[in-house]
Amino acid sequence: MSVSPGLQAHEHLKGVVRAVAESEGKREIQALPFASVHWAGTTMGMVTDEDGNFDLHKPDTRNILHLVVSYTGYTPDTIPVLPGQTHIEILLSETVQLEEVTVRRRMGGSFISAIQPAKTEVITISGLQSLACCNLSESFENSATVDVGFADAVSGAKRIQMLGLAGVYSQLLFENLPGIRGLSSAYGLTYIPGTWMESIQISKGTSSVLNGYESTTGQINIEYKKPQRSETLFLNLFANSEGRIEANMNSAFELNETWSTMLLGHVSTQQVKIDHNGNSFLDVPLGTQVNFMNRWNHEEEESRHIQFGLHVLSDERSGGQKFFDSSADRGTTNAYGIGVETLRLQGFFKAGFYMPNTLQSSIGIMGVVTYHDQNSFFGLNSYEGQQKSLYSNITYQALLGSTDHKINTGISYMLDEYNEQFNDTLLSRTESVPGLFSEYTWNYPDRFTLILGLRADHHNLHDWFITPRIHFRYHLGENGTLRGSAGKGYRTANVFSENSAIMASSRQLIFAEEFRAEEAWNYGLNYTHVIPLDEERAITFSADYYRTDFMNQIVADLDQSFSRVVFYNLDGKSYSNSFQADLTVQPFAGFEIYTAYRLDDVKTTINGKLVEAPLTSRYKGLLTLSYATRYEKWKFDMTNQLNGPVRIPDTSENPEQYRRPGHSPVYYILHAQITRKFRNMDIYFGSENLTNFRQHNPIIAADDPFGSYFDSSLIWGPFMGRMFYAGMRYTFN
Amino acid sequence: MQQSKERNSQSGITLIPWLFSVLSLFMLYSSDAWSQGRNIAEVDIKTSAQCPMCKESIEEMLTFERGVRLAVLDMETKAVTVRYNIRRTDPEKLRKAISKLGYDADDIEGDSEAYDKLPACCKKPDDPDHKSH
Repeated sequence: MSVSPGLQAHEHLKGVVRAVAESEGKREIQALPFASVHWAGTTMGMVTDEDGNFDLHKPDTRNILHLVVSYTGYTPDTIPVLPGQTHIEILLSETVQLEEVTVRRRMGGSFISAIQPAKTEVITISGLQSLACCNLSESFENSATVDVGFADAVSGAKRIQMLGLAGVYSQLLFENLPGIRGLSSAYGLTYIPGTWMESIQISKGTSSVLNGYESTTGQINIEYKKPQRSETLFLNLFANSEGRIEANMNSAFELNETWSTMLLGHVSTQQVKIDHNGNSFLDVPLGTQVNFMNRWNHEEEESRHIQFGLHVLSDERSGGQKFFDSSADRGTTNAYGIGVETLRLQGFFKAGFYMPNTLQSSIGIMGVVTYHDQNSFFGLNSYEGQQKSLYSNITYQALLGSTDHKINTGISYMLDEYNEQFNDTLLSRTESVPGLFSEYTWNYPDRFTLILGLRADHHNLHDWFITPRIHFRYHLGENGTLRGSAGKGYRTANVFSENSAIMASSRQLIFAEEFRAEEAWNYGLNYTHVIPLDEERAITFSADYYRTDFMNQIVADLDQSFSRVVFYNLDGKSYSNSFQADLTVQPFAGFEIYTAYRLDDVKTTINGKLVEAPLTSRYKGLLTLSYATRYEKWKFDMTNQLNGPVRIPDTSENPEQYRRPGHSPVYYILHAQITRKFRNMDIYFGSENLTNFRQHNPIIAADDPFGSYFDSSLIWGPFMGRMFYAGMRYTFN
Repeated sequence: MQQSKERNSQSGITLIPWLFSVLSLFMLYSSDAWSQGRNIAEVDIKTSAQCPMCKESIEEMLTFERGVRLAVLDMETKAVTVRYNIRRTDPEKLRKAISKLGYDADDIEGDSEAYDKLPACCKKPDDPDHKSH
């Protein structure tokens, strides 16, 4: 055994950082690994180890020193250290921000955070790795909160729903910056590779006003892997039985004590033509995606924290009839084909500064610039869209007297420039929205949290958006947490990208009137109860109910006629009621059963009648079983989904062979995966849709794609059948 | 079309019990009964583990060591019980692996370079760098 000579014990400060956190659904005080500790006014510091321990050399043994402790999601603290003091125990208090959740090593695939004032479901790396999970669109199979399905049967576009409403009513953020919005809402879910993500946080209901006025039904925030705590090298290779091949890598470098950088890359391609149902249309479009990100992290004394990066994406896909030849057949009725080419550039910047001497107040600045360019054709339809966006905000955070009262206030600016052309229709608009926001948080330790938020935004086309929001969390006894939220949300619709599926149909697009902004109220209540069984296991039960009431909505009316889709402002009622119950049980160590049931009642006034919203499932049941041996050497995951019926828009005017029933059948889906972990490598093998359930004849009039009945947008289930896949992950630290 | 759908859903129903049998076979495979007489042996190795953190890192390291089925460290005795395949590894290799991690394993002393990097609670009690919880 060797001890470095000359370093006496009293010149060191050893200690442990702890915080109230969750373990298997149980709230308890836990060690905080990877928390940052450093001496105020110096660069001397370190990160705590997996048990929250640190061991720091004292720069000065005669005077009082100040130790700064910080960790994402917790309020940073500065603690005086006396001369001669060798040991310290630190308890960080949680920051009552809505979004930030810490990700811990080794836990179930998802959990409900008890720390967040808003009920937040967190999908962890382990949860992401238990599915084929090529990209964000495939990451929600184990979640009952978010539904994912194909938007149409030709382009591979995915759409999500939350609370039974289209994904655009929830806000998709990356690291609390606007992520997928505007034109990228059509294909954007496939732009985020699964292996790039560190975690996904899903919260239902309106979220904090700090992130804008858009989240009505909920918020999905993606945390990418971070340069300061990622693998030196990570490689992932994946292939499936449909011919999809994918490669992902990421690599992090620490340049010095304060700077680190990271490269993330992704290439995927589909070159095999698949037509299982024999309707002459490719089930999966051919195509290639190249995706690249470089991000930088700079952390300095006094907790200055700067992050910035660049994300570049190129995605091309072509589909339609398998004998379609783009050079010869495009623009003709020889064969039906589609082609979508997208180029997207995104740059982001985030900086946080703690005010000198008053470490409890800070200024945060963030910004994101996006350029999105899409060039596409669907049969004889052509669509080109371009979006230039800028979003930026400055937030000042301060404590009012004590850590129990906090205020966040700031200004934001959003600029969107859209240029779109669909066939001969030109649509351009510029949205310029300056805004002011303020949020007050009252935290009564271990009892309740109340957040009141208000923002005012001035929209150049739609005048003022006033957004009030309220959240509360109340601890009921030892194990229960009651939460509620109410608030308003706004957004402007992008009819083309939100209804891209309709381009792959013979329907004519009709804009009946000038669109107003979409506007809705959302109210929700949820309760979570945790019954600890032993140190490692617990039973978690949760139930929630959310209601959304639209004051205005852009209705896409597919029912009026098979030959058109008519867009107009809502005239009448439109609402969604969503009830969900979840139960997680660990019968024995390593084995977890998660079951959930969701019931949706979604109605919209279409063509003067209040009817069930189309293509929206009435209920969903979920059962996931997960078994892992010690240290996850072997892992078995199984996902069972029961999907309720959806209303299919009226097809009764069609000739008999092109009619569809009024509702889809109830169907069951099964996914399973086996993972074997080695020291530096994981190998996994699995199947999606193991029972081979398919929506037969997903395309109406596939035999006459240029006739007046062709429609590939009435999709309610999988049409691709059973898929096997295998992959490997290699990690080098 | 309709026929193939029925066939598909039937194959789906038969798949579920099949999956469960794979799972139960696996559990059997990792159980004691299966191990007997199948080149599986057990050895107890005394280590210098001091705290739950050391226990975890030793167990985890051994779990991914070639030929190891199961590794459980008892904090009372500080001995780690390793179940392993005798054709793939032997107790000497296991001891060396523990030593490489910085911990003593029976008579083999922990690698000093690795020991220096151990967290404070895993240092030996007579080491001034040691800090117990």
